[in-house]
Amino acid sequence: MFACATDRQAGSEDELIIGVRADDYVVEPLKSKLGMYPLNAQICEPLVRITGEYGIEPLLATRWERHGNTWRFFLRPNVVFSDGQPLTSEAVEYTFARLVKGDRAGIYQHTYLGEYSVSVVDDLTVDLTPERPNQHLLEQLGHANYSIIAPGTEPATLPVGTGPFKLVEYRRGEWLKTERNEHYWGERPGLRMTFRFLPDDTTRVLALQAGEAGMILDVPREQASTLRTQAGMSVIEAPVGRVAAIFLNIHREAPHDLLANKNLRRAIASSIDRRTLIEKVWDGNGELIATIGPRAMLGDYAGLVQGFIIDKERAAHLLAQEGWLPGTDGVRVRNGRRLTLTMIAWPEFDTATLEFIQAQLATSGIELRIVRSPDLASYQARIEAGEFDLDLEAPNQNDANPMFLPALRFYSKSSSKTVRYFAPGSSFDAIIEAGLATDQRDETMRLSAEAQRVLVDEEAIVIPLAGLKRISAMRLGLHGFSPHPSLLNQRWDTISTQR
Amino acid sequence: MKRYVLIRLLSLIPLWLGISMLAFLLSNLAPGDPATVIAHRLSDAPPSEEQIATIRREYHLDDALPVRYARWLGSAARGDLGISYRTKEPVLKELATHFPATLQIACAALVIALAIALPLGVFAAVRRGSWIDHAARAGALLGASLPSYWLAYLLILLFALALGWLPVAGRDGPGALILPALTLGLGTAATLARLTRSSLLEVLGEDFVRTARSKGLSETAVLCRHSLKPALLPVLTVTGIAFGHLLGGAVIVEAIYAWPGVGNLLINSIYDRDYPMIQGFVLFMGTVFTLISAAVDLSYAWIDPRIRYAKKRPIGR
Repeated sequence: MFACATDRQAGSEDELIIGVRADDYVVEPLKSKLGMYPLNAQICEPLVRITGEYGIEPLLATRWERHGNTWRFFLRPNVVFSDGQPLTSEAVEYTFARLVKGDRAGIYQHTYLGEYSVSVVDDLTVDLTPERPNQHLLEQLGHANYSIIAPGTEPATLPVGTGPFKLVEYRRGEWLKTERNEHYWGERPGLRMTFRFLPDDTTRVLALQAGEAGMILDVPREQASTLRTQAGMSVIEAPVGRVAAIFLNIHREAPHDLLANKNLRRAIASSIDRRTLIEKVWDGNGELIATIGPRAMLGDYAGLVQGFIIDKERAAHLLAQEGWLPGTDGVRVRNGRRLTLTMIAWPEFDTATLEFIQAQLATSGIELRIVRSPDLASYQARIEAGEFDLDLEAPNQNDANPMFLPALRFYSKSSSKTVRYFAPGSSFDAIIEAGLATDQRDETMRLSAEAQRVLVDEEAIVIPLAGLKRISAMRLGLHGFSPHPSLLNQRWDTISTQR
Repeated sequence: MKRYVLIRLLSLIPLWLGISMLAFLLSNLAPGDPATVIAHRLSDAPPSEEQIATIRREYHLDDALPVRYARWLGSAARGDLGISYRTKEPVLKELATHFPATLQIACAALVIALAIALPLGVFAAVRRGSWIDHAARAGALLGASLPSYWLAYLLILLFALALGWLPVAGRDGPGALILPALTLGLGTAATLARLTRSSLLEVLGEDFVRTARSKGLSETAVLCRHSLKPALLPVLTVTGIAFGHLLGGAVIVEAIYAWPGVGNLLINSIYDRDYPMIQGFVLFMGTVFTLISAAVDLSYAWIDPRIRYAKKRPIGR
């Protein structure tokens, strides 16, 4: 195997072992995402693909047309599933019927696809009609959750798709082994992939160093610099796929009511030295960014969002303007109330990051109480209960819809449970509604940028800290790996040992 | 003896009830909602209140806590620990699938621990005050003080990276067992070595040992025939308890070595608030632990008849 660096391991030369995080596949009949989400092993393919610039390109559908709210897809001819069945419209119908049937909780309602949304026109032509107008269906369908599966198959048992790989063996929590799909319609991959689940970050790095893995994903920031100095190793940063940002709770319920004040929010934004955070705390593994998602999502309109620069004097002025004056211990006070705020954060953020923000705010006289959550479930409990003033997150952008994050997290009519803490109000909603209503991608980008300008520059509800880059590492000798900003859309079939 | 066995076994019933209640309360009172976690796992977008409510209904999470406890306890009494929220498999089946892997490292760790601790403890006691004794005590202290996660990385660096003898992680081949077992076993070895030493020293100071020596028996005979058996009685008890700890305490070691045992299963279940699995795990491990303790107690009573329950006699007779 390629991963082999020592003599103790045997195997073929054409296997690449990739060390990945914990196994988080749902393997349940009708709901199974095995091989698709959250780690897409390219066993199954959706109708369209999301490019590295978050554009859409043909995959199983070679072209598409839109008639009102109906999307007509023309399927790629001569494509067969790994079990030998041909790809026809029936497979698309089967796939979406299964998704809707398995979706008692309504997870797929984001696309508004329902029981009668799929209509077969002919063998290679299929219509998709969402139950409600959805201008962004195409951009959503690039998500791996909408991968097409062979009729009559159940991914919980064995995912059968048209992708460059087929599943050979899945052992929960241990590995997912693939083989090259001999029926693949495109160029056959150079290597077969085995994904080894190594949940511990350090163990994953050690496995790479020991030659037990040829490549590892999600290298911890603090270990990336060590790997960079080691001979025979290559460390690769993906383009920014998500942004670490502080979301500010603007609802008016005590005790978390202080950030309803815009000047206070601006003072916080002006107090944080983001460049130092990136360079000193994160060892340079980040990118200054003003938007709340990848800049590529907004095209030329990304420049509409200015973002914040550190300006302690401005922060002090804004706080004094609102009556917050320095107390005896340096913490500002107004009418006997101390300027104390509570911050929650995704568990992935380390103590150093949280304490850096705490120290930065302290210099402006803002006392920050950090509430660490040991896991996502306890974090979710806190954020849903509104027990916070600041919330540090790094949301993903896994589909190609520029309105996705602004609409999901800040639009007052969003289905998200936490939107009530962040929604700016009706004028912002109008921008989102215009963005959701237009079918012009350029206009969607412009409106998304405008929405982000309101959130960041005008209202200071979000403080983007830095664009995060996924870090992968591999042993020298592998070629063709092109890191995608979104791991879900990462291609493995291009990797080979040949230049 | 029969009466002792019966009383010991009957005493397990309230213990099980206590464990079951603790397991249920601890998992249910922890912050976090399993319905929200399930919804998040099914989609990468934050779920709506309706979606979460649907899942809550599906899993009967809206029922009152006592109702859910009674239902779970009733099923557990019939040997049904429920269905995992995370994997949709019966909890018992999941435990049966993962427990052999944990049992494997626990047994190997115990063998390593005993292989190190007994000779070291005996040697340190026999050569009390010598440099061997000091070295053994220092080693035992070090072994007991090292955190398992740190020791694990150290062993990987040495045996997998520097020497290339053993794999870093996984469960492929017998070699993969060595590092996790060593990581787990060294800490236990330290405890057992110190106990063996102190217990043997105590026995060596007893009158019957002095008598044996005065009869002209060699030191080897005094040690092997007269001293070791009574000295090892407390070691046996602690070994039993240590084995229980090894079974339940392999969580960190399993996570580091990507060892597919119940420890890893538990971590994922806690992250996902998989109540049936957490409760099932605690009940299962509690049962294993109490059974091991009971077995050790029984064997202790079998070895030393003084320990058996004496028939109560009326006062004054």
